[in-house]
Amino acid sequence: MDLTGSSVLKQAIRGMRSSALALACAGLLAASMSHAEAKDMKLRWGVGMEVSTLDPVYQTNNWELATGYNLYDSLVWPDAQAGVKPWVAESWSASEDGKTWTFKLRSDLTFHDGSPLTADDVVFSMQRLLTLNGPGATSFRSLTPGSVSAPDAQTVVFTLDKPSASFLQALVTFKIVNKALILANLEDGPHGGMKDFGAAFVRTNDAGSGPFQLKTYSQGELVVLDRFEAYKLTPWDAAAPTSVEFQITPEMATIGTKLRAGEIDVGDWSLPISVQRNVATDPRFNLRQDPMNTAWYLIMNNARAPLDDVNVRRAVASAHDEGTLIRNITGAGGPMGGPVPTAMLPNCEPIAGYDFNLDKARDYLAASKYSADELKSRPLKVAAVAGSERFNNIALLTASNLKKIGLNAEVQAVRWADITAAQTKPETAFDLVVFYDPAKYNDPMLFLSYYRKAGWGDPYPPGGMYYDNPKVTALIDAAQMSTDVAVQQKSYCEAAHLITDDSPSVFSHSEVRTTTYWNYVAAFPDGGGTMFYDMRFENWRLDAASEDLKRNQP
Amino acid sequence: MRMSYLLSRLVQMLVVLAGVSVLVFVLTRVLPGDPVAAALGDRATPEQMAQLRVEMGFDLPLWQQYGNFVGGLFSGDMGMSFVEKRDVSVVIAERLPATLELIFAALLIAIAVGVPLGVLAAVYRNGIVDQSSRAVALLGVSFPQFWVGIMLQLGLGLWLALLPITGRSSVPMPESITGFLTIDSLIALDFTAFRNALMHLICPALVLAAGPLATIMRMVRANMIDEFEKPYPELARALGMHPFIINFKYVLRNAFTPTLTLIGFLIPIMIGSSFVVEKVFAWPGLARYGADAIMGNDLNGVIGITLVICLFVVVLNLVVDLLYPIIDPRIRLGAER
Repeated sequence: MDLTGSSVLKQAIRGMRSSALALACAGLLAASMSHAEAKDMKLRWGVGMEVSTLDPVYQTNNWELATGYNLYDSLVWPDAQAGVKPWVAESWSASEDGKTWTFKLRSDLTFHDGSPLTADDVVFSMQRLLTLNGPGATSFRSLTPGSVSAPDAQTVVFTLDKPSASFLQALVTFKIVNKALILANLEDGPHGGMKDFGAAFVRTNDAGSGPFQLKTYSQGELVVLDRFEAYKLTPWDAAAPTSVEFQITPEMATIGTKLRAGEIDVGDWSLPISVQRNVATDPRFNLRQDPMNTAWYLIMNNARAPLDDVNVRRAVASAHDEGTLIRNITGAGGPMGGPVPTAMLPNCEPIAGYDFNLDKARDYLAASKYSADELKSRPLKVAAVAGSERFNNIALLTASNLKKIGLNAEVQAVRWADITAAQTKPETAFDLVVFYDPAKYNDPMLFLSYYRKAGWGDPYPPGGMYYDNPKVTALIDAAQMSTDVAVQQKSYCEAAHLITDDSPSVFSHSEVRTTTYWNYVAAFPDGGGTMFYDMRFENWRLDAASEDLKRNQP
Repeated sequence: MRMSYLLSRLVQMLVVLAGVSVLVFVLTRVLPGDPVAAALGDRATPEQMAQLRVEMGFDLPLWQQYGNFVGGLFSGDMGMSFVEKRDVSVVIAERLPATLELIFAALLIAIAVGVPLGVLAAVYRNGIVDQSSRAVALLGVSFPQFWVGIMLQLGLGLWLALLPITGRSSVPMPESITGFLTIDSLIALDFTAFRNALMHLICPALVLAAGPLATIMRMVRANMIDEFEKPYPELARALGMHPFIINFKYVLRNAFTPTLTLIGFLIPIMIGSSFVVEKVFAWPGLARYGADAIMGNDLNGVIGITLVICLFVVVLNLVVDLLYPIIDPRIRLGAER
């Protein structure tokens, strides 16, 4: 099977077509199935990372977030055309100045314990999110706990301290929790009458209204979610899984073995290429590739010689061999086309990036303010996360090409905690860091925020990069102040062009996610390139008539 | 044995633990890396990091942090784990039994197989049993554990489908009493659960036992041969005593003291090497958490695990010392020369 970048788009389209076909077949199949047959169809994932918390305020890794997206619901839901569509909120409006947002909620929704979901729960959820201030709160910096109110049981009003073009998009990540349940389970904590705001309870318990409810949570081992039969936002299909299991298996080779042994139905996305290719040759399995809005970069330290020279940075970008990287390291990937994945700026004039060309890279170096001897005498440290084969191979490929153009590059495998600590100061930041970032919602600002001075000193970009161009900042700020999508897109696009010209980081590639699964996993939805929205398991289908399914799930 | 000996050993244990706690505490604070940034993930704001730093007490002077830590220890509070996002003491209490069950099972296999094979190798010196055991020993210490683990998964799990590939159990387990699933299921007389837990235990325990088994076997063989050189086995044979009684009751007993010392050393090594086994077999134990804590700069987790392992090792050494006079009555603990 060809897993190279050039075939990714075609494969993705084929994948979507076959998914649609399979979805239709699964629907027919489901219609002919008795209700008894639909019972106890599990969807079992082998996942490499720990699910350390069920609390949406603190969830960070892929599988924590995937759990959260199935246990909880949000006011709005991503939509490929409109950006977002009604979900728990059936409608909304914004004031002319873009600061006041009013949402009308559906009145027929309930939490898993049967209690009704009301505006009071939404207000409490946002206050809890902002007070606990975990990673989930990062997208809501323009709100304070006091700026959310519920005039009646079905109306919520958010008052922003300044307009934010990203606010509505960001709401897809905002999970609504069950206020009454949490208040009944408070433990000692620093938040006055709210004690711990339910942090201890929600970490291991379910306080949601999503399509699945928690059955088992055994940390380091297993998470089991069961169907919430009373779920109203999506009608249940008989072919949808009745339960979902995340079996935590830190070793990828073991996940490959479990998949082939039928102990799991779907493998982790990070399975090594060799395992994926091996499994792909077996007709009992399918392998699907989906382009993602996940961007891979080589973050450059713009504040220190020799990368403070734009021509040296352009030389590094021209020495980046995206083709070899995709072919031999990641196994799949798409072009970035600038600082933001192309799909997130659909109306932007194509950005001329830096193709792999060592001669051109040498020309850029010759045009820099540094002599060849100066460039050679200064070692460039390329940091990669210790223990990750993929990160280290990307760093090795980069260092190898930089040496070819006369730069003295060396790879350093470093713990992620140490990289983030070093990135907080220009003088300690690594020269280059292999870095990736998945967009949790479809907003270019998630990536363009790297290129503002406002975040210098952070452990993540803009920290570590230390890039500043006042024109870029002005364009980004203008987009953020506007509620007009066309104005936002135009400003973002102009900013992306300017950033590419300055080459503050290497825009390596956008991720193509590979899912490896048994062929009785009949269909699952396309996520529109955004992480986790395809991971709502009520939209997945299993072929109950499959002999393999019956054998694997006796 | 004198009571004063026991007391002096207990005082020594406390001194060692206090020393280790200071050393690990200071080292984890001095080494580079920001645990707060790593814990909060990407897009964490400086305000979020500052808030967490205060919540974790990282803004206090080092001596005060250490004082709070020691104070917390007396109430069973080891601080919050960044990796698991809960109290370290809770994580340890939950995960330690899994690791101990694995280590004890591996040790049981290593002793139950290694000792008889060592005896046979010594009795039939340079014979086929000896040569075979030497080959087994060489293989046992030569193959890397992760490779043996993956091979067992492929062979016994995938191709023969005899044993599960990962985890501790796949059926509901009875209420935890000891934390050892095999023992808890036996106490509850739930033989389905016992069989399930045992099946899950076999592969990882075999992998972990391979190296110690080989070492024990060679140690027993060497010491048995030394004992055979002494006059008493010959005398016993001349008196018509059965060779089994001579070998296992007399010679082995005399030859076992150095092996006991070796076993005392092997257990901490097994704790360290169980990380690989726990990772490959998705075993929810302490060693896996320890490795994650180190990679994630989870300071409280690293300190907590180090202290627990240290406590385990010093207690184990004491137990081994107390066993000497039982196995060899010539040894008198704490006796003046």
